[in-house]
Amino acid sequence: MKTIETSRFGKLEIEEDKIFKFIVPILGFEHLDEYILIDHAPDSPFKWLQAVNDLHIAFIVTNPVNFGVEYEFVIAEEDTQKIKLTDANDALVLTIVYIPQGAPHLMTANLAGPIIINAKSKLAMQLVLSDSRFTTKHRLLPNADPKQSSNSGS
Amino acid sequence: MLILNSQVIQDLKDIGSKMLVLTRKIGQKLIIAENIEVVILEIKGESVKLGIKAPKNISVYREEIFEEIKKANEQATRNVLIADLDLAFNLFENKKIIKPKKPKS
Repeated sequence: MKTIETSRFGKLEIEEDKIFKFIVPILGFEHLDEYILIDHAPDSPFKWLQAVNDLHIAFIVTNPVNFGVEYEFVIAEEDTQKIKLTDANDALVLTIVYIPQGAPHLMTANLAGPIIINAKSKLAMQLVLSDSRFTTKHRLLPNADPKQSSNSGS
Repeated sequence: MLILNSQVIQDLKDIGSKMLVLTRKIGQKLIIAENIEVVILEIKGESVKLGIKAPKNISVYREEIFEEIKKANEQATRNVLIADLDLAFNLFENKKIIKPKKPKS
């Protein structure tokens, strides 16, 4: 059991077996390879991917399927080997979400660089996809009017 | 700096002092750190086809894709407001997401 002090969640107690080791780090954060997943709220599609060794670094993540996105891709064998993935059911697919300040209706998900977590081996990676269908800024609420305020639903 | 071709000397002014500049013919290879291999496979006009062999723990990316994803990652973790996340959750709940419709036949 490890205790860490985060800026967003205060003190967190982490069980060692809940820590995921990123064999391929999140790009731009090569010095960090241990993260945990923290739920946002009951029934929320979002989770936090919190770095264990840098308490200021946390990503909002979601499975884009929650937002009706058809998200299917092939993972190359050399990548499945990196995280020892042998069964697709063991894979947790998450995408990093960007919520512009004050404009949550414009939030986007990075579909070109999904996070793949092997729930069994606890190994993880950020995969880089070269499929042109998937962009780094996919609007999760595509029908939201960019000009409307965030208070009105669409 | 290791220089293998005298024609390269003119380009040196534009390149940072830490870059190693080499010239290879098709089929010739580079060995990096004893276990990474780069081979020139084909040259067509302005494009060069490269083959890269590296251990599993080494990732190789096209620079523009790497930069784009790296920038997106950095943007996503900068100045995140919990209030915005809670509002995003509200929008998700209000929207009652419907799966994409199949096209009519």
